[in-house]
Amino acid sequence: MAVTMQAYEWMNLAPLGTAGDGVEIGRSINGRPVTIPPQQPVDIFVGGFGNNVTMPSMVRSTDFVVIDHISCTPFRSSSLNIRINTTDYFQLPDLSPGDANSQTNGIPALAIPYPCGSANGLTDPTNLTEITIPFFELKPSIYVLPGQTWTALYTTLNGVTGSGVDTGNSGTTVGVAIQFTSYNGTDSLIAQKLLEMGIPITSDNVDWYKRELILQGDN
Amino acid sequence: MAMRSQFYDWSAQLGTNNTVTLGQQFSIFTGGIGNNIPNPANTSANQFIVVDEFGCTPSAMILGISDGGGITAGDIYRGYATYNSIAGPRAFIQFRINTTDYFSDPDGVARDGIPGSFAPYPRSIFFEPCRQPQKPVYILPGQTWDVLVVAYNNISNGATTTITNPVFRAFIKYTLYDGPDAIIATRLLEQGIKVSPKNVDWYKQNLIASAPAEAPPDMK
Repeated sequence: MAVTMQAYEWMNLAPLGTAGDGVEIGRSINGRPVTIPPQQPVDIFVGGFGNNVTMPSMVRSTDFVVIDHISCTPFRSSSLNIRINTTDYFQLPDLSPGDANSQTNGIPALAIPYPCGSANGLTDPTNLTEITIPFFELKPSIYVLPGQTWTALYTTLNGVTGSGVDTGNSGTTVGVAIQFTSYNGTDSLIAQKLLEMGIPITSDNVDWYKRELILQGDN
Repeated sequence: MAMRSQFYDWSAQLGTNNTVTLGQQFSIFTGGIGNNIPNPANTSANQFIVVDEFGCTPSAMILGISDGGGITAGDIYRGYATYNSIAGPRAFIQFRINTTDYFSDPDGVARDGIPGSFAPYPRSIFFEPCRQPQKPVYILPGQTWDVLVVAYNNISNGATTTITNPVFRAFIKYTLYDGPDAIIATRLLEQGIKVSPKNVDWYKQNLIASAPAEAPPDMK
């Protein structure tokens, strides 16, 4: 499995009985929404809210990661940014970093709804009848090179209220989904070569490069 | 029939056992829940499978009452019952090829797979696939494969660990290459060419075009 499509979903859900801030590795049943403070960027992998993974996502020396798609639930003025090592990917027009206090910390979730077709709570918060469709496509894709660490930061301007021990719908659920392609082993080397050559890194282009190599070998 | 589109549609509401244990991953082929088939899925030595599309029941996030929302527990929202501020079972779909799970989290650990909200089935204006087209999953000749699903959210308004007769479905669409087409598919894979009906046909056309016009002496 040298080229594989992967997807990761984060939600602000924590195990049964957890009140306020909660975190879990993996997912547990009947998780309940946890509170996320306003204007605080939350690392969706190891940020301490909702479902997390065991360690920060680092691309190993034999891997190459291409982030193809990002999406985020558009409640409570949410936004999403990608951080590679210590640099935030999405910047303001004056090239300054995003500002968590002014809804500019990354792409607004209204442009990248999750699920695709989600309500946004702006015009009809009671019945949530809106349908939000994507406005933003991640073109070009984001490359994460071998040795780099990457993550996604979720920020809500208005804050998200958890449900504590309440089993009803008092709390708000939000989620983030990221799809990325992982190139492994020799395909990772080819991806790096394509990057040097200025060719977009896609599975089709990696396959094309392999064919060229095979043809050279045949000759 | 050397190249065929195939599908498998699974529902927890079919069959004799309709009880899903939350948090417990199970096979949609032989897991004993919903409609099943008698044997695990596998490919013979002369078969090659490309899974083109897959999905499972999606779930919608809900703006909580504390934040101004008005959906109460037990209400039907976007076609699914709500509980814990989620409408739907919070389901995931995972592929297992031989003994290896295909989808893994960014820390390298294979957990639940792809969320149904990301790859929804059925699709609607409320639940569209996040990204199209999906990237294919190849099942090579001789491999055993399975599709696993798991649900995490109770949709019957209670804190129980099981749900009975839930709206919980999964669907896969795959192309089965058989006989010579499976050999061509394997050859395409070796050459780094995407395995698709169009490319298999292209390879066949090239083979025919490069065949000698006259039959060899022993064939006469």
